[in-house]
Amino acid sequence: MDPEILLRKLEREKSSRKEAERILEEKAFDLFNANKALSDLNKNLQQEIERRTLELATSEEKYRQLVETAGDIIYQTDQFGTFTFINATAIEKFGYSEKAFINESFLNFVREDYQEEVGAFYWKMLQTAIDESYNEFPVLAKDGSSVWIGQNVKRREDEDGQISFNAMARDITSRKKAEFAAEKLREELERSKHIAEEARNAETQFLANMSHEIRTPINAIIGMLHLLDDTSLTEEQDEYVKILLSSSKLLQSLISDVLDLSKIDSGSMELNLKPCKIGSLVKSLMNTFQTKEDSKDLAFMWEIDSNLALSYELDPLFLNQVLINLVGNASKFTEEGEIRVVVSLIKAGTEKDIIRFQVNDTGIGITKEDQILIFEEFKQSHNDMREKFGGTGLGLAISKKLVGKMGGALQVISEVGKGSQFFFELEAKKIASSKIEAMAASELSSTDIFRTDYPILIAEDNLINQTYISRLMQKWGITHDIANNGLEAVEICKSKSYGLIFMDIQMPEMDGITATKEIRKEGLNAHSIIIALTASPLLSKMQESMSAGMNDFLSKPFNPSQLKEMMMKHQNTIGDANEAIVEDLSEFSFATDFDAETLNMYFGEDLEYAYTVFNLLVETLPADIEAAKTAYETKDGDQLGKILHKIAPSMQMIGLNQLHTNMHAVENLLKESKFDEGFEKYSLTKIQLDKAFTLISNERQRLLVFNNS
Amino acid sequence: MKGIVFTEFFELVEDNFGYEMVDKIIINTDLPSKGVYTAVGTYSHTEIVILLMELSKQTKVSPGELLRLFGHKLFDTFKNSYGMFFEKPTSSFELLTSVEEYIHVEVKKLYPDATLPSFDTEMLNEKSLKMVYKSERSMSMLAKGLIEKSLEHYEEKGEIQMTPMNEEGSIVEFIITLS
Repeated sequence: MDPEILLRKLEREKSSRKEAERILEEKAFDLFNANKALSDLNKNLQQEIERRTLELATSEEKYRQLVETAGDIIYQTDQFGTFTFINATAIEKFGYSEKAFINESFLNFVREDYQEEVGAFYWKMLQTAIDESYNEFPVLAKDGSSVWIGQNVKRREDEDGQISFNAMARDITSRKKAEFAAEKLREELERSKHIAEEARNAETQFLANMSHEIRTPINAIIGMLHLLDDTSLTEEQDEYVKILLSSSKLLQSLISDVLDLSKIDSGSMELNLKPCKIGSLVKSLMNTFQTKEDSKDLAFMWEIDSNLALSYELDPLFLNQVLINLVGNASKFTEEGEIRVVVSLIKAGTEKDIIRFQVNDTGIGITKEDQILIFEEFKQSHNDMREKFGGTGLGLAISKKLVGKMGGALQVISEVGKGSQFFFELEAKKIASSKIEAMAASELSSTDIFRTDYPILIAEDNLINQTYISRLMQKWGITHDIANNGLEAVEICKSKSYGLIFMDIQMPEMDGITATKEIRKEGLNAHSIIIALTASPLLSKMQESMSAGMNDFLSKPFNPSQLKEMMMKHQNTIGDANEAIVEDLSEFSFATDFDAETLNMYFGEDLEYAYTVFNLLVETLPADIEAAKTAYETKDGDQLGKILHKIAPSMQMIGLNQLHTNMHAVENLLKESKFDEGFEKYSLTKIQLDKAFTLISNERQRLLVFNNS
Repeated sequence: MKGIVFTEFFELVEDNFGYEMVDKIIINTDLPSKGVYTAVGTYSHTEIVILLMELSKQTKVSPGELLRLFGHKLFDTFKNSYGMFFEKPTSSFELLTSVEEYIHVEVKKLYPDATLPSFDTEMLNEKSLKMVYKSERSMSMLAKGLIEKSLEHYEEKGEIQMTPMNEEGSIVEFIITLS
C-alpha cells in the first residue's frame, strides 16, 4: 500500500479513536450525571418507601393491637360463614385455638339449638342485602359451657362482588343468666302463686262444704231434740233429752269454733262493716246469757257509756261473737258473783271514737303463766280444765283473732281467786243520726207482736230440715207450703202469693239464688220477702244472695227463737207487699248483670232510647261474634283485635263493665303481638260474650214489653 | 445516521475493493467529517449517500447493487451485535414481522433520535408475506439485501418481488414467496 495512504488511514483511525473517546467520555459524563440523578431519585424514592412502610406498619400495628386487645370479640367470615379472621379476645373467650376457627364454618360454634336461628339471620342478611344487623345467641365454648354473645354484624361487598361479614360481639352471658334467672323466678312465683291460690280456693271450698255437711245434720238433731223436748216425756226421758241436747250443742259449738278458726286463718272470713248499735247488741247478748245460765247464782250486768254515739260502723257479727266468747268463758269459770260488760268512750274524735270493751268476772282467775297460754290455739290453762269445764280451748284464740281483724288487741288482767278482766279497744266511725233513725225503723222492736197471718213457703231439699221448720210453723200456727228444690219453688210461686219465703241456697235441680232471680223477675211473688238459708256463711255467698234479690239470710243451724226473730224482723214489711207491687210496675229496672249507674248515665229515663240501643246490638252483635269466632279459630290476632275494638265500647255503654275490661285487655295484648296470651284470655272472654248476648236479647225483650205497656 | 453504518460501509468497501478505494472516495468527496467516523457517533445522512454515489462511480457497480450487498453485510453485523433479536423468531417471516413490532421499538428506546424506516407486514397466505417499506431515505435495496439474508439465515428459499409504489422509491412493496 502506498505509504501516504497508510499514513492517512492511521491518521483517520487515530482521529476516529479520539473522536470515539471524546464521545464516550461525554457519554460517560452524561451517564454519570444521569446515574447520579437516578441514584438521588432512587434515594428519595427509597426514603419515601421507607417512610410509607413505617407509616403503614404503625397504622397496621395500631389497628392490629386494637383488634387484638379489644375487649370485644371481633371476627370475619366469608359469605359462606367460614372464618377468615378471629381476634385474641374470641380465642381466649371460647377456648379454641385460632387454627380451630380459621376455615371452619361459623355455625359449628353456635350452640345446636340456636344454629337454625343464627343461620337464618345470616341468610336474611345475604338475601335482603341488609348492611348491618344485631343478634344474640349462645356459642358453645371448648369447655362445654355456653357463652352468650350479642353481636353487631356488618355486611361488606368488595369490588369483585365478594361478600364478607365483619362482626363485633360482646359477652352477654351474665346479663342473659340474670334474665333467665329472673324469668325462672317469675315463672316459679307465678306457679307458687297459682298453687297457693288453688290451695286457698280448695280450702275455702272444703270449709264451705264441711260447714254444710256437718252443720246440716247437727242442725236437724238439735231441732228434733227441741221438738222432742216439747212433747210430754217421762222424767227419765226428759233427762236423756237434756243430756242429748247439751251434748249436741257442745258438738255444734266445737265444730263451729274449729271452722271459724280455720276460716279466719284462710282469710275467708272478711270484715263486713255496717251500722251497729253497741247498746242493743250488749243488752240482747246479756239477756240471752241471763236466761241460759239461770241455774247459777250469777248476775249478768252491763254498763254503756252515755257519751257513746248510738251507732258505730263495726262488724256486728265479729263483735257479737267476741263478746259471746268472753262472756261465755267468764260464766264458765265463775260459780257465783257477777259478770259485767263495760263499754266506755276512751277518746272522742270528730269522725271516729275509740271505744273500750271490758268483760269482768269474779271467777277463779288465771295465773300469770297461764295468761300467756290462754290465747294460743288448743291450750287451756290446765289440762284438768277441759275435763271439768269442757270446751275446745279455741274461744279465746278466735276472739283474739277477731279483735285483731277489727283493729284491736285482746288483753287480760287477772288475779287467782279474785277474778279476771278481758278487754280491748276499737276505733270506730260514728254514724250520722239521721241514718240511725232510718235504721231504727227497720230494727226489731221488743214490743212487736209475732205475726202469724201470712202464708210461708219453705224451699229446702233436706227432709229433716223441712220437717223441723214445718213443725215449728205448725206449732206457731202459720200456714206454709214446701218446695223440694228451686225449680219447684219457682213453679209454686207462679200460682200462689207468699208473704215470706225461706230459700235454701244449695239445692238440686235449681239452686236458691237462681230460683230467687226467677221469682223476682215477675209474678205474684216478685216482691215477697225471701230469706236465704245457708250453711256456708261466707261473705261472698251472702253478697251473691243479696244481689240475687234476697232480703236477708239466716245461717244454719238456727234455733226456734232465731227463726222467730228473723220473721219478726221482716213481718212489718209484709203487709206493704201489695202496695209495693203497684208502685213498682211503673218503674223499669234493668237486670242486675248490667251496671245500674252506667245505664242511668247513658239512658236516664229514656227507655225508648235504651230499647233502640239494645235492639241494635241484638241485630249487629251475632255477625261480630261470628267474625270474632272465625278470627279466634284461625288465630288471626289482628282481625280479632279489630273486632273487639269495635264491640268493646258498646259493652261499656250498656254497663257490662267486666266484659268491657276483659275485651280491652285482650285487645291490648293482641296489639302488643302477645298472641298466645291474648288468645288464651279471649277463650274466657268469648264465653262471657256469648252470655252477654243472651242477657242483651232478654233485656231487649223486657224493654219492648215495658215500653208497650 | 448512526456511526456504525459508516464504519460498516468502510469495512465493506475495504473488504471488497481494498483500503485504497476507501481512501479514494474519502478524498474525492471531501466531506465535513473527513472520513473520520466512529460507531458511537452520529453523522449526516447525506454523507453516506455521497460516499455511496462516489463508490458506484469508481467501481461501476450500481448504487442499488451496492446497497443490496451492504444489506447482506449489515445483517451479519446485526446478528453478531444484537443477537437477542434473533433468539425468538424461528423463521424469516417471524423475524421480518418482528422488525416493525419489536426491533424498531427497542431501537427507539436506545436511540430516541434515530430515523427508522417503517415495515408494515401482512401475511397473504402461509407461504407469502407482504412487506411495505417506507422511508425518506429511499434505500429499499438495502432492505432487499437484509430480506435475502434473512431467508438464508433460516435456510429458506423463495422469491422476493419488489414493486416501487412511487417515483422517489420512498414506498416499496415487497412480496416474499417461499418456495
